[in-house]
Amino acid sequence: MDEERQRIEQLKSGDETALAWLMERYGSDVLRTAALLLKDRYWAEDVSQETFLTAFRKAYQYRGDGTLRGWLLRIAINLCRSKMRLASWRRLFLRESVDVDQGLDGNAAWPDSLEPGSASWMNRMTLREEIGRMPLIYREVIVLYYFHEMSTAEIAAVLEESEGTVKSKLHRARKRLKLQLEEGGWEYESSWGG
Amino acid sequence: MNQAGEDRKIRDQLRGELESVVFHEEMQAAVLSRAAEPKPSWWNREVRIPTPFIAALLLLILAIPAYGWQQAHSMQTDMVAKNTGKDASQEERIIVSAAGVFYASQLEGENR
Repeated sequence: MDEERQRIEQLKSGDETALAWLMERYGSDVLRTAALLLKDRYWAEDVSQETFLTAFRKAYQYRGDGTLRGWLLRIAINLCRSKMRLASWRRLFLRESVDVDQGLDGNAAWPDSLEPGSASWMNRMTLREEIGRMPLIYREVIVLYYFHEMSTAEIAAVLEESEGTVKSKLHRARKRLKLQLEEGGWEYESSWGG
Repeated sequence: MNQAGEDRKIRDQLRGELESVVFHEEMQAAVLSRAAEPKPSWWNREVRIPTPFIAALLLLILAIPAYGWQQAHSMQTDMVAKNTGKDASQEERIIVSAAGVFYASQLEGENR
């Protein structure tokens, strides 16, 4: 914790070694969050890089009232929302065939070099795809709850919403995910041998 | 399976799926090089204007001449109507008699 505080001070003073430390520590977490929210490899990479750049340039805005990871995730989620909004506008005005909200999965998948094996990857993709089929507001709470193992209070702090709102969103999101998993042919019990 | 067990399994599954998604060194290097770039001067800074704002501005730019044209058109119509009314009121009957040619209003004045 002391190291974190020290790094934050370095970050505020514009020290690039602190930025490297931040990326080393939280880089994959941020990238995975963006990948789950956006479902597009290139966008997720863009957003994660932009997140660290924003954190570096606006480090003075971090007041230390929440965790550093939470602050980074808030930046990443806000950037993901902006990307989604931009995609919606583009779709509306330019008639681009970017269907971000309902499945961009096939457009820019992760390269083979990053995948452990195509057959097993396909089997393991199912849960990620099911989460991707949910609306963004549910996807956010699901990712923070399941992937980051955050409590409702922590999620509320990241999303800057009341805990009650988060609880009700999470309840609906989990219900919907369970239904999707059961209906979508995802073998909820047997896939884990349960 | 109870709720906690289900949650645990979903978490494990999700972690397994995303294991290969890594913020690799090239991406870190790209961020560091962008961070090292000097801040652009304020007149040379890239500004992102939100699309709804552009749409509203565009609408306003189109609406102003349309409103102006509408105002000018209605003003012209009013003027034509006014002039027509004036002409009609100014039109006087001319009475030709043995004594000469008179306006009707002149004769009406005489009668009074």
